[in-house]
Amino acid sequence: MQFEYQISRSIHDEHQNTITYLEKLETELLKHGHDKAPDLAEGDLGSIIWQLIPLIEEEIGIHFQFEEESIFPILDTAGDSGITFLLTEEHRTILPLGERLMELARGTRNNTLDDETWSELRRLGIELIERLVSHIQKEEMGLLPMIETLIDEEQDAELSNNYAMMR
Amino acid sequence: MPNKPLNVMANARGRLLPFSLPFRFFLAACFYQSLMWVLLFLNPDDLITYNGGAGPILSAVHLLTLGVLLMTAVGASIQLLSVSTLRPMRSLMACRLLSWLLIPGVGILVYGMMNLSSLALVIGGSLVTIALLIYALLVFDNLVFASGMGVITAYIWAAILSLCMIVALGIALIMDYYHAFLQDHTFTAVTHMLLAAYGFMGMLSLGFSYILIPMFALAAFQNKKLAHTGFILNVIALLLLVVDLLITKNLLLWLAIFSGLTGSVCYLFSMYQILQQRMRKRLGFSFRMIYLSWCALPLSIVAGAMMKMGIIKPALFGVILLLAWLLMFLVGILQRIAPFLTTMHLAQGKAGKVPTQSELTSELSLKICNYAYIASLLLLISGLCFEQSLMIRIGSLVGLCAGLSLFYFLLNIVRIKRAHAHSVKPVAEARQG
Repeated sequence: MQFEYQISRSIHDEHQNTITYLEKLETELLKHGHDKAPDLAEGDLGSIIWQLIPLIEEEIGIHFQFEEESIFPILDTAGDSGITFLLTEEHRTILPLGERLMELARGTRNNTLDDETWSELRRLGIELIERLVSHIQKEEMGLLPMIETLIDEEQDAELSNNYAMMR
Repeated sequence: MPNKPLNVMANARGRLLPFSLPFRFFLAACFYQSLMWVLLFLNPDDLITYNGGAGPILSAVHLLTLGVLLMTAVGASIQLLSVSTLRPMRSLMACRLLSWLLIPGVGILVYGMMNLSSLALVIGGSLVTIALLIYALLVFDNLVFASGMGVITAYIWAAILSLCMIVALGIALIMDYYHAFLQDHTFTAVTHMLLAAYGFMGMLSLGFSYILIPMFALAAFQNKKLAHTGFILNVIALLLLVVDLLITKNLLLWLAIFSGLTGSVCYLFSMYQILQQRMRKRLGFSFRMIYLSWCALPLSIVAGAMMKMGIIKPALFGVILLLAWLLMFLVGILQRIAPFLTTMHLAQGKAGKVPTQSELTSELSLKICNYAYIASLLLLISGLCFEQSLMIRIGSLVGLCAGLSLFYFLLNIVRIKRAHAHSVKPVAEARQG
């Protein structure tokens, strides 16, 4: 996608990175059945699960916070609260899911995983992938094009600066 | 300045039609599809020798074109248009009226074609005509002030103009059964059928591809020049075809075929470019149906040329055009938009976890539908090539399986949607409590 403003490009790039990671995670999770925990020392699964932690803390946590504090108010002021309502509700579903996954990922530090934990990690991981992809889809098709029509260069610089500070 | 991306989600929830509206068209389409397979199962020999005229095959063709393709297109387009043009449909009552007229109207009209019942033809034809005029007005009203949609709007305008011509020709064909005033009934019927397939359904599916494929694949639609070139070539092809069928008889046909083939290649290359730079790599099982349908688009034009040269039967051309291209495309798209629209509805003003699209998707019925659908196509094509009525019968039975699986797939979504709607509280209530 081509965006004119820096802030849209930053959010878009993060979406792209997140989807690239989620596709890797999906591939690894689907390689193994849900009932028997795989050996995390073999292959890429262990390191990919471990990467969930920065994804949820930084990419999702900060990203969501920035959108709710700095982007959604611009849309609300422009009278398009429908999409901000929908996206905020999705944030409220995705964040707890991500936090639980982060806990489970931290538990794999020694490359050990019991069957029950694996089953939960796999189930929640697949759910996170689907919810996050669908959420990104809405932001790419709705939120970012709207930002492009609602802000000017000055606001873009301010938003980009604020976002850089948060990160 | 970069191309501004198309915004199809802004305040989309505010422009959602009631859930039951698009879904009644989708469910009616599944019902009519099943009826079509039953008719083909009962009349395989008629299909092999079909060369036009009233009877079970004409009824089956109309069950497919009006009952399945048009029904699905109307249900999907009244919802998708209001979302993509950022303008709600002007009248919800008109949308409801459209469904009340079109759904039974198709059934009555097809019954009339089957039994050559003049009363049923007149009543069914009138209901369908009024319904289609309401649809054309709704789309016109929604599109007339829409901006920034470029080639998408152009395709939809072409589809609506084709629709008006199809209706006019359809009425003329029905009246011709009683007053015999048309100079050439067969050529008028062929024009009516080709306009319906390439003009209305084709243009609509090509136009909406530029919204739906980037949306599902998470990709940008950037090469607008190529898309516009494809559109111009496709419209030229359609115009040449109609002029040739009604006036010049064979003089312009090969130009129309060449223009249509080039236009379809431009469209397919556009789709390829969109998919090449998509963010989401896994597109799911339903996209395989879409890929196969894309292969059938240029193939249908080649099949048309072969039919003209007398190499293949008209029925085989019809199967490739209507079943392999249009129906396969619609089935693939329907499998994606039905769960997508439902999640949008479920999120409307309700607190709590909305089911994911995969939770709404019955994977088993989707797989049965798609595999059975492909198998039925192969059986029908083989049956027509080798003039084997048993193959056509088996193909129709397998097709019926596909239709019923799609029916179950949609009913399952309705069931989950209803269960969820009863189990969650409205947002305001949930936040207070």
